[in-house]
This record gives sequence, C-alpha cells and structure tokens, in this order.
Amino acid sequence: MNVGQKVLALTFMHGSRRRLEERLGMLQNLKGKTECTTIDSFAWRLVRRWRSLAAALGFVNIEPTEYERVCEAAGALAQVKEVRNWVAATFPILIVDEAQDMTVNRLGMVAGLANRLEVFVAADEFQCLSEELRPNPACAWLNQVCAPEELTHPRRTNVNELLNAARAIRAGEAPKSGKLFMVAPTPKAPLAGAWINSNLSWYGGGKRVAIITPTYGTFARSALAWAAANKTKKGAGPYNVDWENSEAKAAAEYLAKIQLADRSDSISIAAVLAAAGDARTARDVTEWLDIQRRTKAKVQFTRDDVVKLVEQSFSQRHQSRRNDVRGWKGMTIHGAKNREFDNVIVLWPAAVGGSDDQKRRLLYNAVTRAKERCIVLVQAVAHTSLPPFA
Amino acid sequence: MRIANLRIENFRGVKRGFVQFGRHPVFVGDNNTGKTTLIEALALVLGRDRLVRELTEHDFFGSNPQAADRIKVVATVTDFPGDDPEQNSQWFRDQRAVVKWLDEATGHVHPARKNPAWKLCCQLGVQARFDQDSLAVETIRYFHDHDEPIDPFADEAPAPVPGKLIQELSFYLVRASRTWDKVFSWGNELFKRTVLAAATQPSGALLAERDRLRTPTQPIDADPGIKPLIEHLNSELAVSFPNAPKVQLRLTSTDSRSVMEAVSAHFAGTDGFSIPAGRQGSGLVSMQGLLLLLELGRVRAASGGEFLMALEEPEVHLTPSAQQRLVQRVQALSTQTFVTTHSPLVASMADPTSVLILKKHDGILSAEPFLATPLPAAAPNWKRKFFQHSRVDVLSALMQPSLLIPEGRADFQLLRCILRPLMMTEGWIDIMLRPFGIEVGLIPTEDAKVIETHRLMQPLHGRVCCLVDGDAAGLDYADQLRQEAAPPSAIIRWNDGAMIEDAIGWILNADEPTVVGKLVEISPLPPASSAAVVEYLKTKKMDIIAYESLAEAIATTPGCRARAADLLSGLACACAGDEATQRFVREANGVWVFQP
Repeated sequence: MNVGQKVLALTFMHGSRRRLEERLGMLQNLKGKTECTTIDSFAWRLVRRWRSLAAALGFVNIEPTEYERVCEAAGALAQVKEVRNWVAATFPILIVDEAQDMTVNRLGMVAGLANRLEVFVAADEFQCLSEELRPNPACAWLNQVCAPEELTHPRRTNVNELLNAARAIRAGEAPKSGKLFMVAPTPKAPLAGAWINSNLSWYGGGKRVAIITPTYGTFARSALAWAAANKTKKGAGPYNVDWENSEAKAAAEYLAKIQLADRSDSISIAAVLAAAGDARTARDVTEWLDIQRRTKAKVQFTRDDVVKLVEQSFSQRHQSRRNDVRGWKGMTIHGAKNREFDNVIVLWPAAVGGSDDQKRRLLYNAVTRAKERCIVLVQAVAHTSLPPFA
Repeated sequence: MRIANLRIENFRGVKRGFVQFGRHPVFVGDNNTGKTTLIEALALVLGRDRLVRELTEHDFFGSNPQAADRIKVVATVTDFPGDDPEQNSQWFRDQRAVVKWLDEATGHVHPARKNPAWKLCCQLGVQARFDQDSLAVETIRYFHDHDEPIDPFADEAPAPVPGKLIQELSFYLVRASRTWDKVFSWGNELFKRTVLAAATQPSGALLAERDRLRTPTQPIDADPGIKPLIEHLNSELAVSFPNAPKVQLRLTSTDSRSVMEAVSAHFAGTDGFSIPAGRQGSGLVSMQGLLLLLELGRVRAASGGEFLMALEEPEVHLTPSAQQRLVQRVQALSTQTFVTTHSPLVASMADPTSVLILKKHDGILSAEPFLATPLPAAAPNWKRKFFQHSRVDVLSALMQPSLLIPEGRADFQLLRCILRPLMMTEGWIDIMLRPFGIEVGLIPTEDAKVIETHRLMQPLHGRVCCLVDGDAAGLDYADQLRQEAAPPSAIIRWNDGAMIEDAIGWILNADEPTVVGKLVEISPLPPASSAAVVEYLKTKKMDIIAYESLAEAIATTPGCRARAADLLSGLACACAGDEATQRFVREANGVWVFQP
C-alpha cells in the first residue's frame, strides 16, 4: 500500500464493526491503516459524495435512512469505473465480514468494488438468520467468483463442550449437555428465574453475562421478573438484569413519554426535552436547534423534525457505545448477533417460529456467543426431544 | 492545471457571477465592475490561509448578512495531467474530489463523460456565513460535489480541501497596494518560501554574523561617550542585586532569528552608494516582490509544478516597457495568470481573445472576451484595424461608464482633438453639465461601420451609444440601429442634413471674427469665415494638423470654448440618458437630435 492508503473493512452492525476494528488493530503492519465501518454507512458515503452521478443513474432524493435504496444506488455507482478507481485509490484492499447478511443490494456494491479492489470476504451461511436470504446471495456469489477457503479452526472459544454443542446443532444432531454446556427444561418461569439467579451467583461475578432469547415474550419477561424479585433457596439473588432495547425501540419509548405540539419554537422544545430526563438526547436536540437558529434563523419546528432528531440521537448513541456489555444484560438473538460474552443463558420459550432449520440457526447463534459456558433453559419440556435439541 | 471557471455568489459587490478563464486572462472594466472582487474570490478558494483576508460583514453582498446568507465561491479546476483521474489520485479519491467532466464551450460540469471532448475537472468551493452570536465570519473550503442546495454549516459536513493540495496549486496574488518595504528579509513569508524553494539557507553567514554581534570588537557600551552612564547603571545594579549582572549593549537580540529578521535589502547604484530599499523610489520597491515571485515561478516551472498567479494592475509604478516585460515574464513562467488592469496599454499587450471585459449590472457579474475567437484570414480590413491598430483606443473607451460609437473616424478624431485642450483649461469641469472626458469612451469607428461596430461592442459594455449624421445615410443607420435585437442605449444624431463639421461651424460662430483670425494657417488659402472652415474640413477629412489648430483656436477663444463645452456635455448627457441638456433633445422615436 502507498502512503495514505488504507484497508477498508466493512461489516454489519456497529458491535461487530468495533470488534473488527480491534482485531485489525492487533496486526502490527496495519496499525493506523485500517478503516472499519458498516456497509450501510459506507454506501451512504459513496452516494453522498457522488450524488450528481447517482442522480444521472436515476437515484434521486435518497435519505440516508433509506438503507436499501442507499445500497442500491451505491451498487449502481460501484459499477462505474471512475467510482471504483476513486475508492481503490484510497482503499486498495476491502475486507467484508458477516457477508452472509448482505442483501442483494448490499452485495451489489461489494461485487462492483470487487472488479477493482482486492477483496477478502468472510461469510457463514448458517449464521444468516433472515429467511429471505435463502439461498444466500453472498455465498452464491462467492462460489461463483472464487473457490472459498473453509475456516475450520474455531477461535471464539476453546471449551470443548461448547464447540461440540455448536457442531452438533449445525449438523442437525442433539447437542450434549455437560458441565459447561447444558440444556435444562424449566417449564415454569420461576424455575427459569431460579436457574438464572443461581447461575449468576455462581459464575456471573466479574463476568460479562448475556441472557438471550429468540423472542422477548412472556416466558423471558416472567423469568427475569422472578429473578429480579426473588432469592433462590440457597440465597442467590435477587438480580435485576436490564433488557437491552433496539435503538428504534428506545427512541419510541422516549418519544411516547414526551408531549410535543405539532409546531413549536425551539425554547419550548428544549424545555420539554430537559424535563424528559435523558440529558444526552436533550443536548443533541438542543444543539441542533441552536445550529438551525444560527445558520438559518429557523426557530419554529414541527413535531416530525424533533422525532427525526430524537431517533438520530438514539441511533448515534448505539453506534458510539464502546464495550459491548459491561456486566449482565438481556437481549434478543438478533441483538446478540456478532457479539461475544463470557457466559450465556438462553431462554428458549415454547413458541419459537420458523422451520427446524431456522430454529437450529437461532440456537446456534445464541450458543456461539459464549466463550466459557452456556445454559439453555427450555420452557416446553417436550421440545427437548425435538429440533433444535434433537 | 488551470482554473476553468469561477462562480461567485453574494461576495462583496457581486450578487451573482460566472466567469470562464483561458490560460492568461487579462481583466479590464470600469471601476467597480468587480475586478478586485474576482481576484479576491480566486484567493478565497485557492489561496493559502495567509493569503486569505479575514472576512467581515462588508464581504457579504449588501454588507448586512442574515443568518441564512452565504458567500459562495466555486472554482472548477481542469487540465489535469493525462486528463485521467487515476494519474491524479491525490485529487481524486475518497476524502478528496469526485470525478466530474467539464464542457469548456459552455462551462457546464457533468457527472459522466458523455462527450470525449469534455475534460476531467474537480470543483473546489468556499462558503462563509456571519454568525450573529459570535459576530465572526465562519469559512469553510471544501470539495464541491454537486449543486444541490445543502448547507455545509447546518446539514452535512463536506470533505475539506487539504492544505497540501492548495499548496500544490501554488496560487500567488500580488495586490494593487504593494506594501513591500521589507521584502528581502526573513520577516517576509514570500522571501522565506523563495529561499526554501530556490536556494539554501545561508546559515554559515548568518551564524557568523550572530557571533560577531554577540562579541563586537568595538562594543557600544565601551565607547568613552556612553561608558560613564553604563558604569553608573552597573554600580546601582550592584547595590540592588547580589551578584548583579552587567549591562551590555548589543545590536539585535543576538539569536539567529533576530539576525535574519534584521536583514534589509540595499541597492547599490552605479555611483557606488548603497541605499536601503525603503529609501528607493516605489518602482524599485514594488518590483522586489515581483522578482521573488518570478524566481519562485521559475523554480516551480523547472520542476514541472503548478504556478498560478494573480497580478493586480501591473502598471503600478512601472514604465510602459517594464510593464510589458513584466507581464510577459509572469505569463511565461506561470501555468495560469490572472491580470487586472486599468491600463489599455497592458490590456492591448495581450491577445484580444484573452482580454475579458468585466461588466456588472444590478450585482450580476459577467465577463465577455474582447474578441470571441481569433480573427480568420478572411476578416475584413476594418475589423482587422479595429482589433489591431485601434486596440488601445477601443480598450481605453471600454473602461468608461458609457461608450460612444460615432459614424466615422473624423468624428472620433475631431471630438478627441477638441476635448484634449479643453481639459487642459482651468475650470473646464465646472462649465460642463457632465464631464464628457470622464464619462464617455470614444470608439474609433472604421469605414462608417457603425452598425457592425455596435454589434461588436454591445455584448462588452452595459451602455453603448451611437452617433450618426443628419443626412440620409445617417438617418438610415439610426433606423437600422433602432431595429437591432439589442439596440444601443442611446442613438444620437446631428441635426437634419448636418455632420460633425457643421457642429464645429456652430461652435466657431460663437465668436467668428476672433476664432477665424486664429485659423489663417489651417488651409492653403486662409479661410474668410467659419463657413469656409467647415467647407475645408468637409473636403479634407482627417487632416489631423488642421484639427489640432482648430482645437487650439477653440480652446483659447472663450465664446467658442463655452459652446464646445456645452456640446460635449450635451453629448455626455445624451449618452447617459440625462435630459438635463437642451443641446440634444429626444425625438418621438427616441433618437437624440443636436439642437444648434
């Protein structure tokens, strides 16, 4: 690479972006020469800079939040020689992680760039949870353009029980319970809650623990509620574990709490937000309002303006959050995607939708988040003899 | 590389403007047509930070910027080596410019190359806003990606232009006010830069000088004159401080920096005396900086680098021959030059197609080439004469507020001859309603090509007027001019049947006996009356010697002088569309007619 050139590393979510950044940072000869970003924000970067060419190609009035359209336009731009060369002049090498999650439009951008850049793609078809991406476009493309190299050596953990369980789930076999990996039937939520508390009490100290479920439904809620309110017979608990919301959900909850007029001036908006209690969002929004006043003499805003800003503030907060989780957190399997924890507790409710294959993928994703130990608490006892447990 | 065009919005006196440039444009125009604004706009977008003056409210059009008002300047850079973005990847890559294509014929920039003649280009933009809270102007320089209305201050932050690329363009500006007292000194940025580029630091000599100043062979404080004072000071110090240091007097602060900053250029004349630059005439002083710039240009050119230079008014402090040499040197050494001038002489040195006439109308700035395309071999003689022999006169006229195209060459010469001695007379300006010499530029029309000349001048000047005879041909010209797609601002004609010589007769009639008495030598046979003078002038057109004695006679005869002034100021009024004069009256069809 020449002076000023860098490796571009693209991935999906901000969590995995940070992990990729850390891992690439460990390579001495790439120090300061990598740029990690999500596929969507890189696509927007292309569309934003090449807006007039994108318009000439028929893509007009694209908002940065219209992710699929942005990627479609970026894919069209990546077909243009000048654009590819422009990217390659700074980034001769492209790395794509979690490529199995790429939609056709996102793949379009990467495939376009691959005509000029040297591209390294990592994908695991089995980790794709979206049923719309079957057969998987990225894996199909990879098989077409190259002979993929199979990575067989797992690096996340060296705990054999966990490795064997993951291998079994993937192969459609029954994962074997042991000491560090365990499937336990917990028909009643209080039982699941007790498992949680004793597990946290024994193994959770100073560890990063995730409580993961396919759907945050009654089973998961009442198990956590029990854990938060009760002690086990041996005196473990009560433990209150926060549930991690998606940024969109957090923003929606915040917005539901505040009262905004259809149109109001910046001072009253600032007052409403200051009273709502979330200092960071209040600051983000009032800063923006102030910029509008100073640069455009604009002091009247619609409710939609503010809603958009609050959503933006929450999504940025998610992007900038450093360590994945400090301590204990609850989340969905989708929310846990591409993240790592020392200890994982899976809450498997009776109602998990999808095919057997889909269920295996979900369980596989949950189990492979763990580095040291993992227990799976299954609500419906009968299910322990069905896929994905058999 | 070259700046192909510049778009200006809301900068100083320019509300909107778009100007296209060739390799060596020379800008002429009336005062306040935006020459300086254009150059300062170039400096804003291309200049290194030191070159850019700090902006204030007065830099905004209208001087009262509101929150949403922006100064906006966008320059299109083209002529990249190889016309290929890959060979210029320091310009075209992520975080730098996006690739665009320039149609030089129209100045339009396209996102994709649909025509092989379009050239690779990038656009650099500058925007500034006045902040009503901090009372300061915020400025950003960025890669201008597209023309969509996005505010770089409120919406998305555009990619900034790195200083390295600005340095690569190497844009220098020599302003009209040359404050160049200490040019050859390390206190001067340009000098430092030139030494760095074209020589090596004379560090040996500087250090030797520093050491000599630290331990002088004949210290000032040891001089018997001042020694008693120093000794007293030392004894006082000794009483106040234990281990008191001793006072010594040294030139400079005796470090290398103060030695470097103390350097001052001297000029040794052939008489052997060496005189500091500040004591020299302003010609030499203003030449110093240009010499350094030329040296920098020479080094840049030798290394194949870019050198863009804007030079305001090269005529300042220099003799015409020095002006010519300077402009030619600057143009030869630079990849692109921008010269502004008030001197028709400087403008006439340039190729007429690269002379741009600036016009500003209601804040809208535009520039038209003096000659759109080079004259073909088949160009008629009058046109050739007009753009070649008469170039200085035409350019000089174009710098005036109104332009007057007379029907023929005799009108031009007579009016000019009469005007000159009149302007020498004390108080000439008081006797004129409007000063013709200051307001009206006279065009030396060739071969009665009044219509054709009007068509040539009309795009170049905001106020083009025509003066025709009162005979059948003149009336016909007047009719044709009225029907032009873009008719003259004023059509003026002599009274029925008359031409300029008849108007001269009217001037002479103010004091016929006296003035005719002064004109005995005008013709082989001394004229007996003003009518005879008119008769002679009509038969012997363009007798310059006769014109000059006629002008002299008029200027020295008070009655005639008053009529001449009245006539000229009347013409100036008609050109300006000012009805204050009785000497010219507007007819129903709009034509101004002379009233003797």
